[in-house]
Amino acid sequence: MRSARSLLSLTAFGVVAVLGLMACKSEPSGPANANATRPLAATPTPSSSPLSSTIPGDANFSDLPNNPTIQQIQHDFDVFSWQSFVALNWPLDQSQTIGSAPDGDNPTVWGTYVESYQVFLPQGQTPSWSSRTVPPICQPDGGAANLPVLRMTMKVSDQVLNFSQQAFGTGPLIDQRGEYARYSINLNQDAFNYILTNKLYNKEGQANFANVSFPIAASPSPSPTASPSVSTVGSIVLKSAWRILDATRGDVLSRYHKIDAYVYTPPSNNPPTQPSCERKTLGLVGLHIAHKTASAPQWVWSTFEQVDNVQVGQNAPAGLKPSFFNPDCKTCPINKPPPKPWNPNVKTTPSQVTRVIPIDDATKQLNSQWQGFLSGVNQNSVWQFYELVSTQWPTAPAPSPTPSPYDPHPTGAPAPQFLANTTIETYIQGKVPNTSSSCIMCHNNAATTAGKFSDFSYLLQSAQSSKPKEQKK
Amino acid sequence: MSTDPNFNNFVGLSSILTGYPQDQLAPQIDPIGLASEYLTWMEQNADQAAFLKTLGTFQNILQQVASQLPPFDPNNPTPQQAALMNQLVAAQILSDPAMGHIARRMIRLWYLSTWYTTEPPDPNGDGQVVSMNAYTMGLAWDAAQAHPMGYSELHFGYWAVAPPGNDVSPNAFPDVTVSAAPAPGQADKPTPRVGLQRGGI
Repeated sequence: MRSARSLLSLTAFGVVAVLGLMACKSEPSGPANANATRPLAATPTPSSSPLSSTIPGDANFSDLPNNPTIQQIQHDFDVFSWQSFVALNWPLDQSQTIGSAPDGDNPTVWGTYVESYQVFLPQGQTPSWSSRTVPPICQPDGGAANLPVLRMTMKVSDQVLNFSQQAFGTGPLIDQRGEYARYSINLNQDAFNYILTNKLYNKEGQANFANVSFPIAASPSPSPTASPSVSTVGSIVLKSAWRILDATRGDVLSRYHKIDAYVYTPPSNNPPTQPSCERKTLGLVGLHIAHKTASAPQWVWSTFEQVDNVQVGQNAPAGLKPSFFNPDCKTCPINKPPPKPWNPNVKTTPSQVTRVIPIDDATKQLNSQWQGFLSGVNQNSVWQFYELVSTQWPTAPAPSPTPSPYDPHPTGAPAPQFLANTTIETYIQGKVPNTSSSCIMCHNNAATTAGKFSDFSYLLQSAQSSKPKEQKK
Repeated sequence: MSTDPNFNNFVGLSSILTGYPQDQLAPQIDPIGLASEYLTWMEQNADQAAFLKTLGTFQNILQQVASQLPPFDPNNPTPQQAALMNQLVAAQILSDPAMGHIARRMIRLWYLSTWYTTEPPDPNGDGQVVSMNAYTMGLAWDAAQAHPMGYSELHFGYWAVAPPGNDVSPNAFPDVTVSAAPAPGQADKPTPRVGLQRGGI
């Protein structure tokens, strides 16, 4: 009773707003927005297809009965996840639909979002949405500055914590060719603007700020004269996992969303690691989408994977093997990090990864449906080779989007209780409270560098001081 | 509520025995399902005849209340109806040797998350925590406004503010810093308080 009432009581505050938002299709655009080249309205798609470029501001609960079951609400959040996945992976080129290019792939909207290491700069400098820094070692020829730089080999950024200091770094993920998976964190304009406006990009700014509360989708009824840069989708943070692809070694590139990127390994003393940087083709293997919404002040946590990660997915060519599991190895330790030292420059023992909590049947069914929509656009669409693992949401959402220590249910009794992506939380899958992966439970411990709750975002921990470092005596 | 009468009777009786409302013991939107887990545990580990008799007796109590003080909604009783239910549970279940044992085990299960095979229990020589979820969701933690060791659902930094009182303000996040010294200018301000209610159950 409690949770259903809590959820449904948000109607006036959130759900109606969201429905209105969806009806208005007022996806933000404008010079300050990542989607500056995108029109306000969604790109037309076949009339029977739900594929849209509009990023939803919240799940749509209009189909729920008076006393919904947890499965019915889960379904609405899962649909929200797929809508978000499609919209965020929509092409920048407005003349296209997702996956409609001949090769079935496209540069994505979220690929233009700022990366976390571009926000939390050395000496706490003020970041800008469009500025980019590329390590000099990556550009001996001085070109290709716009390529992404993938530098993380674990979930926690090495911008602040090096390999040996990663508090939550349970270990790198190694693919079956011995290559390290790489990670990136991207923020949408709403999240970035909040950090920028409140000077949360350095330690001093955080120390002067009392109550971190990332924005949710704005009112669906903006004034006609409102700035086009007014946010309407709410804060979104994405964590992506990538693996280096090599067609000459058996990778089927047509099953991946691909980027051309610099794979950068920063120098390290422990273990001794030389800096390196190589330009590679990488394939997306995992994607977290964290989105703060009216119905979920504890954020909605969607996670997707490429279908060949731990077992071979649908329509696979003969002989294709999973990226992170060797079906021929009966003695490989399951879900164990590789032996140290962890040096990304050196190929090492592949991870033997399995999914501990299976994707439930209802989500599998929804996946088949949306994969069908995507392949309906183009039989070559790479996007049909991604699947939703699940969506975690608070069954007892906080009464306000502003976090408060007086919240009766700070974590909101998340459902499902546990959620892990095999490429991002590889080694902490399971069902042990407070130990196994649970997005909300883990991020409830997030704090600023000043030791204050940071609204479920660990990003702010990456901030550096704007003051000159004291010289060691 | 469930369509399973045993489940409904188990939750209804548990609510009277523990003092916690039914929708807290078994929320309609329940990602964990502790009540179902406890019912299954009781069905598998308690004396079956005594357990079923207890649930049946509680069903009869509901009918007695409905008969004496109509109209009666078991999920939303009036104060008089609640008082009568408590009185009848005490007289007909707790006072009965076999059913009283069952009821006391149910109370321990909810509060301590522990199943004892002896009655009365020997805490030093008996007892099994039912599950990891049961451990973290024991009502003893909630009643004490505490949380299990190593497991808190409160926001980061909760330990730096005072436990709750009746004068909590819902309007502002206190300037919580992990520091023993008050922040400049904060020394003369009221101590912020934090609710320690847990997010689960």
